[in-house]
Amino acid sequence: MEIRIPKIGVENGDVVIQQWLKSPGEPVHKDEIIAILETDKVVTELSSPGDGVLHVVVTEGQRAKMTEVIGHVLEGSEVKGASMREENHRANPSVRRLAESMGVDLSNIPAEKSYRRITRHDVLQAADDAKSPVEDLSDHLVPATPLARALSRQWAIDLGGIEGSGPHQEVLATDVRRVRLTTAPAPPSTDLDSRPSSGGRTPLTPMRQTIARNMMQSLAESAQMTLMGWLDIEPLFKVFQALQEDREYLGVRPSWSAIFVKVLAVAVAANPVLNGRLAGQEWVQWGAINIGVAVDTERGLLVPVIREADHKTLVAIHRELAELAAKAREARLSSDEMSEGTVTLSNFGSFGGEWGTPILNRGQTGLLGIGALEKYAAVDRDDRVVVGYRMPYSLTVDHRVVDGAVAGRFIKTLKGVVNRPTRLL
Amino acid sequence: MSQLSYRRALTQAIDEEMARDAGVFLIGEDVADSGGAFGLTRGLLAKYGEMRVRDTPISEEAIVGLGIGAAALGLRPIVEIMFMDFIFLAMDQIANHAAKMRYMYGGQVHIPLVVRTLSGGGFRAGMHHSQSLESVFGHIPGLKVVMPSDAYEAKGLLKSSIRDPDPVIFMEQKSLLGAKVEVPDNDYLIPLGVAKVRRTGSDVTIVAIGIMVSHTLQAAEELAQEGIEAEVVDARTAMPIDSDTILNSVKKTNRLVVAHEAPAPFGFGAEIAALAAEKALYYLDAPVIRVTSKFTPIPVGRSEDYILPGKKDIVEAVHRAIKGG
Repeated sequence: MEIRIPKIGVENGDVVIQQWLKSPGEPVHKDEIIAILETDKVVTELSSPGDGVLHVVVTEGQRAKMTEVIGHVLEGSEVKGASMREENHRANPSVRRLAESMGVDLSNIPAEKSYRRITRHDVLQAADDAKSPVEDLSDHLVPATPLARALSRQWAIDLGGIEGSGPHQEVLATDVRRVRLTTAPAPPSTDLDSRPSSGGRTPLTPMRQTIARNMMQSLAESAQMTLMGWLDIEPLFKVFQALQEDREYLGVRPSWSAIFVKVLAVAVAANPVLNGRLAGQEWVQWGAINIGVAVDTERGLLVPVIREADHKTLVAIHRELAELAAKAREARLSSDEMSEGTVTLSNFGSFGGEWGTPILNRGQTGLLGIGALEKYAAVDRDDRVVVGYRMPYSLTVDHRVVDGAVAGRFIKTLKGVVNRPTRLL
Repeated sequence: MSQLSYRRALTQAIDEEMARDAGVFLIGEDVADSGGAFGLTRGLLAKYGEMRVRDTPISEEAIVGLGIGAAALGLRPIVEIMFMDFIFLAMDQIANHAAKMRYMYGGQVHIPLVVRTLSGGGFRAGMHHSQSLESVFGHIPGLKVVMPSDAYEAKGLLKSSIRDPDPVIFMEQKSLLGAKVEVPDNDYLIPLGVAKVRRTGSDVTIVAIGIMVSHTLQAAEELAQEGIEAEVVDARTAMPIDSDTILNSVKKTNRLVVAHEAPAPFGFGAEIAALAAEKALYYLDAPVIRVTSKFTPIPVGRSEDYILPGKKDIVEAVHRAIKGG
């Protein structure tokens, strides 16, 4: 029985076998969780397709593609076939020698028909199947010059993704250099690595690699400008307090993030300049308003999306956000739950932060960052000093399409919503 | 300093060395009375007398054998093999004796012999008067193989060859005999085994030897007009090979073209390509391309022009290295 990577719905289809929960040869049962898989964005559990004994093809830490076979669950006769004594019966000496020379473990060859002996063909097939996904065909099939290959190795750039500009479409050194300039930052030079004070090296998780790549690409692809200022939060503070009083009905703790998801969605609905993206020479306006919310997790930043937030109630948003944040921390978010965001909210106030220069999510045009709420000495209409409540904001926009004045008008819209919480109803 | 032809630069080198060292003498077919088939030794008989400038019977084996014996006894013979194609007749003397005696006698005997010989095409003289056999001799341990690319190189390299303690095959390029460049009138030496960067460039390295250096320099000028800057390395000696100079250039330009007049198989170009593959593979950004004559005997007459490589072939090779084709 084959253990295949399920279709998890990630963009590039690469999955890392983070952990096998059972050892090879150990009995496993149907639907028992046997492995943890990690994609660019999520961690998923994989359950056994049946009862039997586990046989591993793709080991921990290695990459596999969607629907690829990463192991087998061997049943009955197959299990017996895995034993050495049985193996001798299953293959003649020349086949065994071939298997040895090719590094093929005969017990790994699934015996579809256990009475049948293993043939040379079976061994060659197994050797073919067992090729590590790290030596993925893509790298071998990409024509590239030795220099391009050397550079791609030095800078850890996958040749497979590069379009070659050579006379026969081969990848040249210049192509690798171009990709390096436009994508992830170079790993530290060996000089830095070899400093005696170096505190050790840790390979980046696929998720961190993705975050790093996305951040660099976002900055490389758009002209980001951040506007900063204060939001007078007095009227919204009353909403927060009211939610706190009605906490039992709400079911979760009132949160500024949830309130601002709604604030941002309503502001975007009233003034949709940020709800779209620049695609080449075209502006693409989105129909729905889907607010991404940056959630900090142990493994890195995740951005689950609250869809059509402008049509959802404050209470609904609270409940949904609480659920998504919990899933994010438990690494249970599906890629669907993180896709199709149109504008993003980042609440760095929860860590006491004030202002920042947040980086746009790729393919988006606006990101609102909010800082920690603070009391301050305000001056009221009668020139009296009173206690006021305010919150610092940092709005990043894509300056290619959003002029300063346009961004300013959006902030005016935003302040209008903040000042009149009835608009959230 | 004066403009001097390749032909006269060779004569001057022999003349200066004979004047400097009484142990230097010259023998060969027609070298004395007639001053050489191409006039390369004209005037030397009158100046140094028949003890030191001597015609021989037509026996290449005897000529070289005599030279080896004299060299073993401490003289510095210059023997001339009129056309390099005839050198096969002396192959046993050169390959089995001249090349190996120092090794066989544990360094107690040196063979400071220079075998001068006219090589290459350019005279449309056919299959027996036109070959370039540098790789035949570069393959034999104990021999140096020199291929001067112009008059300046010819004089400096020949003087070094005469003073070298070991046998040197000195390949005079027939088609360069009349070509003139500035040559110092005084004594100067060019060390054997040191290549020379004749033109600096950043886009492609062209390693050329002998006559191909001048074709390559012209090709480089033409390429420069298209914006391709070629670095031209004159290898000067087919053996020893100055790998440092060649590899440094390849590491800089990342592309390599090798040009020589001999055919490609087992040739100097194959050796340089192997050098790049062994020592600079990860610096190469294009396949190594060889510019050579076609792998066929050299025909008599005008057909020779279709066989031997020239400027156009080098330009095309560089285009292939850079743009494909």
